[in-house]
Amino acid sequence: MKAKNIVDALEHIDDALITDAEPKVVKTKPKILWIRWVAVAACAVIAVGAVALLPKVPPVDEPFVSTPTTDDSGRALWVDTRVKNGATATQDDAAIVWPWDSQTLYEQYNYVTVDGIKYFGGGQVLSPSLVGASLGTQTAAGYDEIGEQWHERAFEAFAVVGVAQKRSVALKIADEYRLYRAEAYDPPATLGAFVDDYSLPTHLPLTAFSENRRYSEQGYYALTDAASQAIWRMLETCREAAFVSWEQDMKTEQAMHDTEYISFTATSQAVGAKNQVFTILPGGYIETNIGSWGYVYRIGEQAAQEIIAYAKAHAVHAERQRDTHTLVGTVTAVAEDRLTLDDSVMMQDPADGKMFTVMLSDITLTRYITHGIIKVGDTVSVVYDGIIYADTPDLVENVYDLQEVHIAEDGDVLIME
Amino acid sequence: MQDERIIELYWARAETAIAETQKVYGGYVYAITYRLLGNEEDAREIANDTYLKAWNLIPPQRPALLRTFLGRIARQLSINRLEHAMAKKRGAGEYTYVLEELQGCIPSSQEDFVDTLVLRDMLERFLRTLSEGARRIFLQRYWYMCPIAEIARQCSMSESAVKMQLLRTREKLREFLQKEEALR
Repeated sequence: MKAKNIVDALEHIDDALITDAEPKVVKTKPKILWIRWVAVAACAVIAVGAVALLPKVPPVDEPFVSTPTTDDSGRALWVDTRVKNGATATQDDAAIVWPWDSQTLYEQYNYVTVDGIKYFGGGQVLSPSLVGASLGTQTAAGYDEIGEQWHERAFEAFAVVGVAQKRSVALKIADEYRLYRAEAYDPPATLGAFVDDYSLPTHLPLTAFSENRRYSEQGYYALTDAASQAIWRMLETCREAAFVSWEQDMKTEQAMHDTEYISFTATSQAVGAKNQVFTILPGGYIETNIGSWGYVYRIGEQAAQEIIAYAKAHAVHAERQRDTHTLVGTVTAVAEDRLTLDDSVMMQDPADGKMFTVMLSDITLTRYITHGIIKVGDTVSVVYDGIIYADTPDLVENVYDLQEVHIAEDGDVLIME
Repeated sequence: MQDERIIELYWARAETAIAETQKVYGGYVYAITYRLLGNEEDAREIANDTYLKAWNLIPPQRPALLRTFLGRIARQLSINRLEHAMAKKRGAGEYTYVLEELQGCIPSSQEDFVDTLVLRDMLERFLRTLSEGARRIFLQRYWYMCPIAEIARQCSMSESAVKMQLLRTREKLREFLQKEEALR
């Protein structure tokens, strides 16, 4: 990654973030220049396709990543030992607005209001065991950006087990339960209220952490469930810890991160957190971004240091985990529910290239084919769960994402003109 | 709505679409191009190119928010121009500093990792963890590429306080990217 990649990725962030930060205009308005304009427009043929970046994948020898040889059931995995050529794939259309009919229901209906609280979501699946009492049939709303109109549809709503209704609800959409979180920023006033609202000791296991200093990671550790519960019991004694805003004391924040601290991985379906952090700072603070907001609670130095000491004393060194992998190659055939990919373009010796059958399980993937966005001859990247079995070494089944990309040998961003 | 009316003009291929766009968003677009490019001539030229690109994109596109749609184009075209200038070893002003500053946010383990969509999602998540003030300063610097002095004026802070705030946010970003990559 280069700084340029951050600059480019920022371009595509949410409209609301961009407009909120907009500086006041300090220059006077320019003269209207549209006459020149129209002349240019009339003979315009250029199309400046801003090509954004993308990824060299998958890293062949990334430290800390173990390569499993079987899945959880013991079925042997195919292990890729071929030598890659280090080519970089760049992606060219960062944001596709799909027609309303080409979206899944959970993509279409992002908003629901239950008992006067507005919730936003749909992207995260909730397992049935986390679904609580029915909250009746509710009307969800979604905006069709192309048709420029709002749609409404009724779904059954449910409470989320162990999570306060003011924080989240679930909607049953096409036989799956989807998490919707309260839209407003409303941090619980104390750590106790925060813990209770989400039943954190149940829903947020503190079983993996990194040791950090000055925002950089020094090592990875694992804890048992019993140790995680012990830490939650220690935190239970800090129920009165007050919510604080770093804004109030920015110098403290800086100083806090100068001392060694630990950062737990926060992943929880019920809370709606994936690979977020739950950090304990020895200066006496808990800092977390679960639920996509920043929360800081002042638990006091003694409690924080005891928790850090306990975690370190009970931890074992661990390896970093990856949960997605990427395959890049040229499309050689497409069908309604699958495509065939040849990845020789990524190999040092093209003869090492292999054909993969990539299964496209739902409309979020098949729409790339039906809308002609991905065709035979295109280079694509496929994000999948990393599992290819030794007995079916050309079959990629659990696909999360599909993108058309371009290959650059030098790793630079491609600008197409 | 104003945007809808203007977008209809584009769809009708009416030349007044451009004049209308300029009337409403001319100041906004020019502010972005001027801030990035630092001189009036280039800023006006790229502002014009922005409208041209909008004309070429609408239709088929129907932006939900014309303001940020134009802002993104203006920013991208200005950056393209600056990169062209950098390649020719001419000054690229604020943009050079912005790149230098952001380089420090990239964990060494991620030199090979580049995926715009994933990175955009990470950045959105990261930005939502920041306080409103820190987020505004960060985006004024790295989205709008405002000079430090301008941000200081906008936020009624000293320049050194703005620099310190940016440093802290970049360190947080570095930590965040490291954490995210560790778990991908």
